[in-house]
Amino acid sequence: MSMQMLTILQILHLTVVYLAVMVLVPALVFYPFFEEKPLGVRFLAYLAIGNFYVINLVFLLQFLHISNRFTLILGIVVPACAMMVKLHWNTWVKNTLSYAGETTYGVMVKTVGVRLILSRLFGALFSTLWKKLKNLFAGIWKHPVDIVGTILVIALAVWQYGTNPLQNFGYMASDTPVHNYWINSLFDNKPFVAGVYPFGMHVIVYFLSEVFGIKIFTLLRIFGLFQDVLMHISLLIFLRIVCKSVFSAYSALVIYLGAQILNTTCIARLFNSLPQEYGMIFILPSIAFLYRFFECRKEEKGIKGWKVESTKELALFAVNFSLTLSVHFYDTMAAGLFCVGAAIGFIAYIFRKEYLWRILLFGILSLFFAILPMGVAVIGGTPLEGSLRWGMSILQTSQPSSTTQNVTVSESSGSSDGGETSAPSAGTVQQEGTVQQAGTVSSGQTDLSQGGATVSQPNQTVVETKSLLDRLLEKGKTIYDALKLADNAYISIYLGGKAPGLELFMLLGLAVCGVFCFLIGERHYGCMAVSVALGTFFLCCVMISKTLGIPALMDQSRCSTYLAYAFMAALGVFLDCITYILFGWLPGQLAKNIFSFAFAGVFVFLVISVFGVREVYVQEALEKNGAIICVTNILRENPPKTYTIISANDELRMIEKVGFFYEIIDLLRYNEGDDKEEYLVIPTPKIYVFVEKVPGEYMLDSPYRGQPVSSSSAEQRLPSYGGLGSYQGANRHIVMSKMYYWAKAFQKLYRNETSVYYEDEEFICYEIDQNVYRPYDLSIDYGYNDAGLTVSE
Amino acid sequence: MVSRRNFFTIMILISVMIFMFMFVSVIKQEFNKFDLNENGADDLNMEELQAGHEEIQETLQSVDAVQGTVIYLTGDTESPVDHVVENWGEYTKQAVKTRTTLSGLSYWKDKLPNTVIVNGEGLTLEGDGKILAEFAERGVTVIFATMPDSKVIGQSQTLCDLMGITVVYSDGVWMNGMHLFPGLLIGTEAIYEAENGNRNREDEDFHVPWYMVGEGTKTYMMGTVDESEFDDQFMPAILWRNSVGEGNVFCVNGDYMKQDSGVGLLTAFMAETDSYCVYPVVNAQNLVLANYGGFSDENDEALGALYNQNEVSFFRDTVWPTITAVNEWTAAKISMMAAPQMEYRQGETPKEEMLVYYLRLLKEGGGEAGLTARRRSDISLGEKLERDKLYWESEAADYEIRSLFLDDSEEIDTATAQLPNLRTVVSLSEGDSPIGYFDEKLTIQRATSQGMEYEFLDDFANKSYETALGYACIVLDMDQAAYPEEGQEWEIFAKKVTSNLSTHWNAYKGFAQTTISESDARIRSFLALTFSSDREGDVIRLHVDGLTDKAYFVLKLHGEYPAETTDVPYEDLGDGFYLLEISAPDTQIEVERDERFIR
Repeated sequence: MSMQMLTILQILHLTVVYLAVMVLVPALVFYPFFEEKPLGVRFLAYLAIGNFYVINLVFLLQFLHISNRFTLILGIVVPACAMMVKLHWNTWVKNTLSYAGETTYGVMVKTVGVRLILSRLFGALFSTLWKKLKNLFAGIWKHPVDIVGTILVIALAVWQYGTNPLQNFGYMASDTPVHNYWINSLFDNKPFVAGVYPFGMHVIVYFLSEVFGIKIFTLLRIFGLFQDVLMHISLLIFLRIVCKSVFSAYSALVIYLGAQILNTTCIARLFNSLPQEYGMIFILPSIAFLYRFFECRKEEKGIKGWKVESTKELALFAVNFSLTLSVHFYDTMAAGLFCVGAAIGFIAYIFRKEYLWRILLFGILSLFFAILPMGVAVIGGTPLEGSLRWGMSILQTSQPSSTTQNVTVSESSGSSDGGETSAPSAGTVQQEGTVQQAGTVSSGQTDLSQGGATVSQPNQTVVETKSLLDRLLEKGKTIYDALKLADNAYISIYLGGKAPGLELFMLLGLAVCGVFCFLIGERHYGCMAVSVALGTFFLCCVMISKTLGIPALMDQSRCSTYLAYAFMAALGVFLDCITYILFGWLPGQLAKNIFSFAFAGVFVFLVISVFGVREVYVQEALEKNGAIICVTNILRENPPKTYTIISANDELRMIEKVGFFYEIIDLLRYNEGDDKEEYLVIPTPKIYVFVEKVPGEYMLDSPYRGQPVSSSSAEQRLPSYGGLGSYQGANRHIVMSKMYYWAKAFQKLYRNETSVYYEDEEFICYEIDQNVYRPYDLSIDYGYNDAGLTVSE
Repeated sequence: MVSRRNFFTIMILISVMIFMFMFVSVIKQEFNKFDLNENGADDLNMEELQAGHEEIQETLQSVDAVQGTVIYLTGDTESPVDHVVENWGEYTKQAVKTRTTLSGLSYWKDKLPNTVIVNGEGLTLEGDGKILAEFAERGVTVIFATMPDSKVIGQSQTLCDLMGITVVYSDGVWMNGMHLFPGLLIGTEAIYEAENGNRNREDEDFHVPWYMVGEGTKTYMMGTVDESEFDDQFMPAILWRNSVGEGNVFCVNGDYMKQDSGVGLLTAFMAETDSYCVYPVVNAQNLVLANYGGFSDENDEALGALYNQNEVSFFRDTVWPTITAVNEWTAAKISMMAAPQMEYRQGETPKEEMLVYYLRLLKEGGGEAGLTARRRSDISLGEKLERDKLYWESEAADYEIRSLFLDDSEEIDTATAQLPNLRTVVSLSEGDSPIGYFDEKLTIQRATSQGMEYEFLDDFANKSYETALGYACIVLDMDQAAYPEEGQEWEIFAKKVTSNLSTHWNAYKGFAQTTISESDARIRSFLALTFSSDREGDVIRLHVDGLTDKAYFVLKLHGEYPAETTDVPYEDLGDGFYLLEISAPDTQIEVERDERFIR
C-alpha cells in the first residue's frame, strides 16, 4: 500500500471517529433541544458540546489518574445513554423497555422465539435509522444550494490543504514534536507535563488516540487538514447565519479558497496541526451564537427566566468561547476582539439589564470552565508553561514589548527512555515556533512613541509643533501606512502588491453598510455587520500593536492567519450587505435569489479572472517522507520496546511510548576522537538508523541546500551545540554526512546483520539485527572520527 | 420378545460391526510384507556411487593451485583437529591443503585460498600472523580452530587486531555457564550451566582464557561468570567472528574443534561469510535400538526379580510399548539391531514367532531390523551369526539383513562373509568421522548420541552434526534393559531416554526420519555428489553433479527467505536455515526479503 493511500484512509478514519464522537453522540442526546434549529446551527452546537464534554471528561479522568481507554469509553457511553434515557423517556425509551419486558416474558414462557426477537429488533433499528436518514436527507434536499455549496467548499478545502499531507508526510512545524511530547504524557496521566498551558487540542488528540488506537504522530500529521476543513465549515456556517443571501456565504469561501489573493504567510500555519488553528474552529461560532442570542432575546422582549430560547444560544456562545480558551489563548484574543466588536455593534442593546447580566454570567462561566483545569493544576503546584508565562509578563508590563516579533522555537534538552539525548524534551516552548514562511518578510513596524515618524533611525528624532488636527491626520496616516505595509507583507498579494490595504476600505464599506441597514430598519442585521467590521478592525490593530504603542501579544505572522480569516468573514458579510441593499427590495424570494446569485457569481468570476486561481501551496516537511514511512512500518512490524531508532530529533516523540530513541549527535560524539566510547551499546534486538542522503535544513537556511551528503562535510567538525542547533542548516548536513559514512562502515563490518530497510532518493534507513545478550559495539572507526567538535559559542 | 425381523436386523448390524473392526486388522495382517526388507533403495548402484566418491576424493587431492582451496595451517604434531578438517573438506567437497607455515605459499592478489583454518595450539604465528591479516583484508576467511596460547596473543598486536580482541583479561577463568546464541547452528538457543555450580572433569570446557572482544566482532557463544562486575558484552568470548577488511576471522576458544562434531562449526562459520551459503547434507535422523533382546529367556532370573516377568514378556510388554510411545512423539523410524540371543547356551534357541512379531510391528511403523554382533559368551562372531541366521531363516527367510551393530571393527570380514547383503555398520565407538565408507562396500554410521546422557557437550555436538550433515544417529543400547546394572534399571533408562528424545530433537523435525538402510543410501548419494553455486541478484543457482534421484542441501540465508515462486521444495529449519530437496542437476532458488507494507 502506498503512503498516500494510507494517509487517505487515515484521514477518512479520523473523520468518521471524530464526527461520531464529537457530533453524532451529542446529536443523539441533545437533538430534542435543537430540533427546530437549522442544520448548520445544530452542527456547530453538537460540535461544541462534543468538544467541551470530551475535554472536560479527559481532564477529570487525568486528574484522577484513571484516564485510559476503558474509562474514556465509559465516560462517553454511560452519560450519553443516561441522558438519552432521561430525555427520551416518554418518547421511545419507556415503550422500548416495556416491549423488552414483554418479550423477555414471552421468551421465558416460550411464546416468543429468538429469531422473532432478532428480526423485530433489526427491523425496528433499520426502520428507525431509515426514517431518520430520510428525514435528514429530506431536510437537506430542500436546500440544494447548500448541498452543492458545502460540497464545493469541502472539496476546495481538501484540494488546497489536502495536497500537502499526501506529498509531504512529516511535521510542518518545529514545535509539533513538543506538542507530541505533551500529548504523550497524557498516556501516563500527567497533564501539563511541561507546565500549565491550554491543552484542549492535546486532549482531543489524546482522546482519539487512546480510544480509537490512532497513533499520535499519525494524528499530528493529518489533523491539520481535518481542522482546516472544520474551520472553513465554521466560517461557512457563520456566514450562513449572518448573511441574508445564501450565495454571499459561498462566494466568500470560494474566493478564500479559490482565488490567488492571499500571501502564503497568512495561510502557512494552516498546514500544521497546531492548537491555534484548531481553536479557530470555535471563534466565529461563538460570535454567531452571540448574535443569535441578541436576536432571540429581542424576540423574547427581555422576558425573565432562564428557560427561554436565548439561554440556549448564550450557553452555546459560552461553550464555544470557553473552547477558544481551552485550546489556545490567542483564539480567545481573537474571539474577545470580536466580542468587543459585537458589544459596540449591539451597543443599543448590550447595556440593558436583560442582556448584560446574562452575557456577563455566561461569559464568566465560559472562562471559569476553561480556566478550571489549568487552575487546578496551578493550585496543585504545576508552574505555568514558558509561553504562558511570557504572555502574562507582557500583560503585566506597561511598556510595549521590544522583543522581536518573529522568533523561532528554542527547544531545550530532554530525555527519553533507554536513550541518551540532549534534544527536544521537557518542551519548554519559550515562544511558539514560527512556521516556515515562503520568504523573508520585514515587519514593517514603525515607532510612534515620539509622535513623529522615525523609521530605523532612533538617533534622528525630529519634534515639531503641530495642531491637533494635523497630528490626528498624521497619526491616522501612519496607522493606515502601517496597516498597508502589514497587509502587503503578510496578507494580500493581489495586484502585485500595488494596492495593499484594499480590504481596509472594505471594512469601512462594511461598517457604512451596516449603519445604513440599521437606519433602514434592519437593525439586527446592521448591528452584525458593524460588529464584524469592528472585530476585524480590532484584529488589524493587534497586527500593528507596536505602531499603536500597545503590548504586542501576538506576532504579525500569527496574527495574519486570524486576520485573513476575519477578512473573509467580513468580505462575505460585505457582499451580502451590498446584495441586500441592491436587491433586497425585489419582490419574491426567487427574484432576490437570482440576482444575488448573479451578483455573487459575477464577483467571484471577476476576482478569479483578475487574480487567478489560488495555487496549491506545498510546504516542505521537516522530516523526510522516508522517515515517516519507516516509522509507520517499524511501528507496524515490531512489538513495543524491541527496537531503537537512531535519528536526528523528531522521531523521539513519535515512538516515545512504544520504542527507544537515540540521537545521532550522541552516537557521533561517542564515536569522536578522545571521547570515543570504549564500548557503546544499544541493547535492543533491532536498531534502525535514519540517514538523510539529501539532508534537510530544518527551519534554517543552509549553504548545502539540496546537496547530497559528502565526504567533505563528514570531514568537518561535529557541532557542539545542544538542542536543535545541531540539526539545523549547515550543521544538519555535517551530521548527516558523518552518519552516512558511519552507517556504511558499520554495514561493512556486519554485512549479514545490517540491511537496508528502506531507501529512496533522499533518505535511507538501515536495520541492524543483534543479540541483546551480546550487543554490537557501535563505537567504530568510520574514517571521519577525528575531526573533533566545534568550539561552543 | 424380539421379533424375527428385529432379530435378523440386529444380527446383521453386529456382523457389519465385527467385519468393520476386524477388516482393518485382517488387511493389516495380510498385506503386511513383514518378511521383506524394503528399506534402502534396491536400485541403488552402490558401486557407481562408491566409485564416484573415490573420484571426487582423488580430484580434490590432486588440486595443486591455492585459489579456491582450504589451507589448513597446523603444527608438526598430529592433532584431532586434522581429521575434523579432513572430514569437513570431504563433506563440503573442498580441497584441503595442509601446511605448517604460510610463508612460501605462492599466491597472488586474485588467486587466494577460500579459507585458511589455523590449528593455533602451540603456534606463535610470528610471520604467519601478518599473512593471515593480509588474507583477511583481501576477503579470505580465517578460522582459528584452536587458539594460540593466550600469552602469545596478548603479546601480539597483530593477532589481537586480527581476532578483534581488545583485552586478554585472564589466561584462564572458570565459567559457570555458557550461552550459545541462536543463528550459528541449527537448533535452538541454549544455555549450559555447570550442574549445581560444581564442575566435574568434563567441565574443562568451562575453563578458558578470558578474551574481551570489541568493535567489528559478533559473538556466537559466550561464557558467563558469576559475580562479575562486567556487563554481558565483556563476558568471555567462546565463539566469535571479527570483520577484517573484506574477510572474516572466526575464533574458537576451547576444544570444540577437536571433536568429530567440529565439522559443524566449520560449516556454520562458512555460512556466516556471505549473504547465502548452500551445502549438501545427508538428511537422515536414525533411532537405533542396538542389542535388542526379547527373543529368548536368557536372563529371566534377574528380570524376574525386578519386574516379575521373563525376558521375552518384559521386552514385549514393557520395553517395546515404551519405545513405540517415543516413536509416536518423535515420528522416528526404529532400526532394531536384534540380539536373538546373548549367551548362546547350548540347547537354547530363541522363541518361535517372536521375530515375526517384531517384524510385523516394525513394518507397521516403517522400521527395519538388523542384527547385532555383540554377545555375552565366548562364542565367535561367525558361530553366533550362523545360529542367528538359522533362526532368522526359519522365521523370515526373505528378509534381508542389511545392517549390523558392530563393536569391534576388526570383525567386519567375518560379518560380511556371513551376511552377504550387509550394507552398513552401526557403531558406538568413536572414530575419525561420523559417517563414511568403512570399506569398498560398507558404510559406517557412528552414534552421534546415546540418548541416555545429554549434557552440554552432547547437545553442542548434536547441533554441530545436524548443521554440518543434517544427520543424527541415536543409538540406544538395549543390552542394559536385558542385563540391568544397579542404577541403570529399565525405568531409569526409559525415563531419561524418553525425556531426552522428546525434548532435544524437536528442533530437527525438518529433517527426515530414516531407517539405518535408508540413511545408508543417502550417505552414499551424499558422498558421491559434487556441486557448485553462485548468486545473481535474488537468484541462487545450484549445479549438482553425480545426482541420484534426490539430493538434499541446506541453504543458509540472512534476513531473506525462499520466495513463494521458487519451485524447489524446502523445509524451514529456523534461524535462516532451509532444507532443500534437489531432484535436478540445475536448480534456481529465488529469495526475497520482507517487503515494507507501506511504501
